[in-house]
Amino acid sequence: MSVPIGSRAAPTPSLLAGHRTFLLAMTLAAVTLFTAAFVKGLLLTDSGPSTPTGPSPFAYPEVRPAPAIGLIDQDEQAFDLASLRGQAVLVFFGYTHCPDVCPATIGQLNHVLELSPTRPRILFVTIDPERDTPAFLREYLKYMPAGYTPLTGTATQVRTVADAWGVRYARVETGSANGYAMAHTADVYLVDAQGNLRAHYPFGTQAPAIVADLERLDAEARS
Amino acid sequence: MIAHRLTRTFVGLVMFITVAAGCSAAATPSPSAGTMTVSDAWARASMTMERAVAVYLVIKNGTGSDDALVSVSTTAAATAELHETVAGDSGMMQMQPVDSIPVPKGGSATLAPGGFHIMLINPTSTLDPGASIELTLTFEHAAPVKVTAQVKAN
Repeated sequence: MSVPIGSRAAPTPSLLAGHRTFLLAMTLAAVTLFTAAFVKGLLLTDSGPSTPTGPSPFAYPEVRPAPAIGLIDQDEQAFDLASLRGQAVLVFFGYTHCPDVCPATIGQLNHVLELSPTRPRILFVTIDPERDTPAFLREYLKYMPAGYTPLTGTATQVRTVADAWGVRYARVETGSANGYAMAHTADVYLVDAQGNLRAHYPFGTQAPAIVADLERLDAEARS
Repeated sequence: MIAHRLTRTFVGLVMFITVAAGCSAAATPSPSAGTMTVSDAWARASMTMERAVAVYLVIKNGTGSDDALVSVSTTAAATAELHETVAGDSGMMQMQPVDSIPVPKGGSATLAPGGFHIMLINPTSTLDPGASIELTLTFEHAAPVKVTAQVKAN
């Protein structure tokens, strides 16, 4: 059995009746306005990802063709960057025995794959070909999300590619039980669908900033 | 004579305040007073191939004296080392073992990607997201602290 909601309310003195009506009207108006704003917000949010405005803070001032990557993949097949024309490519130079910097970057790149509707290709170029052999990379790839291509080569080939991309690395004997370490620059590079080098991201750049640039490329392609 | 009495009163007052302050401090200790507090401990999920896995955490030093993390032991890996990644010459990120990680009194040490971290070498099993591992942190001065680190992908 339900109790009428108004049953406990004291009888309203006629003097206050006008005041109560006013309060009720104000409350209704406020609720209406709030609801309208909320629905509008929802509609705007649902209208798809908004295109970032302004140039990317990570963009190169000049557009130029990305340097070649004369290496082999995990199946020892010669890799050609031109084979990926038509889609955006993120390029990262690292090594699999790297427990801190590279996994942190790969974590952000995995997040890019989750966030970006266009799902760019990702190239993981080793700067440690001694340990990162095709067979090793083949096994490593089993634990990576779809979208990655690992690349390796001879020490000379890797050095040539790294030099062309402005990537620096050096072997460091640290005395760690993990074996030698590789000191390396840890930027991620963005190549557009036409094969041009467009942006680079320093270590620690978060995935949404990279996704924003992918959206800029999409908007550019549509215009 | 009056000056002498005033001095005695003053000394008594100071003694009273000192004792009262001591009592109140003893009566209401903060929960972490005199201890090392470790929070946000996580280990990056390993892929089967990986021989090294990083562990990150934050240590707050409430002991009242400068200290340092000097070693870590765990059953989750053959070896646990302290490492630091530093931005070295020509923008290269370089990782190197360190003997200790300072934890200043009243301050904290943050172990995070791209900086200080604990490196587990040759984990005894694959570390899958959702699992957790036990670590014991040993300090130069403070008592060892047992920590549970959650395994996360990122």
